[in-house]
Amino acid sequence: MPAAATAAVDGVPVRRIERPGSEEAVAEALRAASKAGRAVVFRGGGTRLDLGRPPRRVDRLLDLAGLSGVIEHHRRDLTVEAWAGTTVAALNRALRPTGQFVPLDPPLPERATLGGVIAAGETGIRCVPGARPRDLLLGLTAVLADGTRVRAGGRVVKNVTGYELTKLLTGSLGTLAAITRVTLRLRAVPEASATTSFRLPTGDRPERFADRVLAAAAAAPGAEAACVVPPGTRLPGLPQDGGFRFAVRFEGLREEASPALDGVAEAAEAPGERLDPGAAERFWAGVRDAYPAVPQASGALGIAIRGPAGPVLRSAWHLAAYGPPIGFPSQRRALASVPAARLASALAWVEPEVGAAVETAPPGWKAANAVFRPAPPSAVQALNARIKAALDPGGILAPGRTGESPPQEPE
Amino acid sequence: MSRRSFTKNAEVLRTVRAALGVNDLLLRPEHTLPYECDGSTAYRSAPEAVALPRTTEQVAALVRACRASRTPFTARGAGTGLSGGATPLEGGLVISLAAMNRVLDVDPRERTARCQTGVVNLEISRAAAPHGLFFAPDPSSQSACTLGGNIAENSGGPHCFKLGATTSHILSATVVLEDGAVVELSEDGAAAGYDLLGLFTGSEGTLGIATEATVRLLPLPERVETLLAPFAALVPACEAVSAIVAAGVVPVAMEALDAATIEVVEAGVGAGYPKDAGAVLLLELDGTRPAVARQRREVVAILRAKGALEVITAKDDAERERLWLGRKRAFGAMGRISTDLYVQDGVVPRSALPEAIAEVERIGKKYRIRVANVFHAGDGNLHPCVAYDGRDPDERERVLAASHEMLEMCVRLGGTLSGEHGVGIEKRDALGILFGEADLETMRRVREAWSPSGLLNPGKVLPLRGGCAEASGPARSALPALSVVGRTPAVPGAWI
Repeated sequence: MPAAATAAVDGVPVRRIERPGSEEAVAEALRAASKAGRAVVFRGGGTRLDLGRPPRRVDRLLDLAGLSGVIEHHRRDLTVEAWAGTTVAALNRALRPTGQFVPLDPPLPERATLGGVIAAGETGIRCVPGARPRDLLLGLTAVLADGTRVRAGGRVVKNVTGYELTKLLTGSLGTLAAITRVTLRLRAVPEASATTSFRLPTGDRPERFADRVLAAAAAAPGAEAACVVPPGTRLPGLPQDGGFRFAVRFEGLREEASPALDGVAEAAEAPGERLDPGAAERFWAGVRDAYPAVPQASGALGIAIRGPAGPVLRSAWHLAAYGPPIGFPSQRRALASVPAARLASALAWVEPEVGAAVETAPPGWKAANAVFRPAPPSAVQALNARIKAALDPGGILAPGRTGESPPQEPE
Repeated sequence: MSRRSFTKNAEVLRTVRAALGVNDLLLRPEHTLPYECDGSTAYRSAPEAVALPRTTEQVAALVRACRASRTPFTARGAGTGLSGGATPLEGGLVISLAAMNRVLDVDPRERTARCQTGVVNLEISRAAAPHGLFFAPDPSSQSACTLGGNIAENSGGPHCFKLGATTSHILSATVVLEDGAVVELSEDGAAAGYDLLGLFTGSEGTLGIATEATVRLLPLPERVETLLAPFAALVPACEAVSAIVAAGVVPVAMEALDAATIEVVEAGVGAGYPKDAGAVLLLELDGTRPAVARQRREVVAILRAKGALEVITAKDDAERERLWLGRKRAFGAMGRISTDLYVQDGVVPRSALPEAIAEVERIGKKYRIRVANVFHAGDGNLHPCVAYDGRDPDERERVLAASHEMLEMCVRLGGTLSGEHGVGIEKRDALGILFGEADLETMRRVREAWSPSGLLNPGKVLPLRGGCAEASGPARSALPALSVVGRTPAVPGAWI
């Protein structure tokens, strides 16, 4: 395999890239790395490779994109088993003729792989709780650091047989195992999709603004996606008229779309404007890809804040002073961009029940700074560390990436 | 590892008494007797003592005392579980959360409720109802089972077909770990580490004791309709379910009952199911009025095409409740036909339901046992109920063999061993049917990393290393040996 002098993971140089073409080759590569004590980082599409703390070193970058394709589509059960290196877009293209789809919608779906989306715990823009990776993942096959192949979950929609290792691996950032195959729940493609953008009057106080958006989100049980964008956000498809906007996408039965969106308008106390299908598609693709997969302006940090929806929205409203945030009230999270030099002053606006994580940062920044604010409690960190040590006793999988180690001092 | 007696250790006992209220520690056998088993009364084991803490701090103090004295401890909610999860297999202390039974706060704006985990499931929805909200997980035992038990078992219920099991509805939980540390595990916190809340939910009380939780509430739907569709037999009813799923229509619940179940339900509850039907499907639709009307048209067309004899729509709430009562009380009603019941919980892919049902019937005939079926058809979650006489060793042996064959059948068809009752004691040694040794070893390592002392609900969920699944031939589901079984009446307080 060629050396890759230019490749890096979150600023950490990669010594060598390997591209195993089969599950057995993944196991073989891991056995070898385990024996030699080499640090391994997995890559799918490489869209979220810089989540978490940077790995301490990357001796081997295992590119899993070669494990690609649908293994079996259980059409009548609305489930699919696929290789983890399959991209989300490729899977949905393969499913399209059957009228089914996987409701994952990560940034850059042409590159993002199923395994990567799950390892990153990438929530996507669909706001309903049932459409997160942890809800859609029914089962998986993975290879542990020592090359052992393990299975977890299954292919049925209801399953309480043993521990939910599927949940443990979701969002584990490649620190516990290489995900090689996944079984996912599917949905029927909705017959109707409609997006309305509500312009909230300028000059609103953040409390009132947050309350109205929450009431509106609550009034839209059929809404599949909902987000808040501040003035000045240059997203395609959206009128640029200088107010905060609350956009809601409804997906479902034709009969439900109009009543649902009318209910949102009433609760939001704001005039709504229906986006035509092309504009809606461009707008949501823009929201999906705006953060955090696209490189930030130089010196800017991409941050995610999570917590109760009201405090998250109020915090995001204040963060708009630093860069345009996008708030997802039903997901209890918002994404924002903040200049690195102003992080401390920006976080001072974040309400106490809201946690912040720096997702993307200029090379070297994370090595010298805390990524999770506040840091997880020590008892929780200890649990994380013990689980990591149990499944990866040699500590070869993305060492240092999870929150277990305190930030290093600047060199 | 050596374990000591909890109650004979004067110092520990003093610590525990000091931590609890005067009447909150039960030591006399006549008081601890009800805590020997859960809803699966076949598994019994006497605790040394039962504590009824009222605060998280008291739970932590009890856990520390257990650890100091190396006493095994088992958390308990309402004891409605059906796999022996709350049975104190190795004695020790039962920590009942029954006194921690309050809804602390409902936040209608955030659509969440903060609750103590001993709260009864239905109480959460009652507290949320004035705000137009409800708590989605609805095990049939919801008028008795507790939130903590739901979290431990990742409980389902008819409506989890559309809305997801408990794990999709818990935002955070206060958990006492085996060393007495109190942590808040949350969905939001998973970003800074692993999804510990996701792993904890459904871990059957082996990783910690949840004392409080914040749950997600959903808006009550504008319109709900309940339909009853009688069929000549169960297999075409299952074909209808499979067709509805494949058509992409999503009723909020789809339940199936066979002729044997209809007979006992009608005799016991009088739900109004047609007594001459070979099977009935109970379906519920929800959403906006136009959406429900449309779904009803589509569902009725499929039901008719698949052989429904008629389709009855409940006229009002009273009739809806009556139809559901038959389903929710079915298990209790079976006490009429037999003193002993063995209920399975296997799952098959929904498209395999017709084949699985035919297989259940074949296996029942092969072993000459009486099987009644009442199950969550939308999820493919079977509940074959085997009525038998526990005093007859030959019949017990046949029940055991048949049950094992049914579980193997579920796995062969692409399914799993348990959809909602959990593994507990009952299916512990059958896990090898589904998982390989490497899979089980991974789970064991996770458990040992999380709870290294082994004092937390010992003997549950995972087969021992080199245990019977490996060493003594094919894995078997565990119906306990006759010598340890008491009479096992089908208790009206248990549900499926």
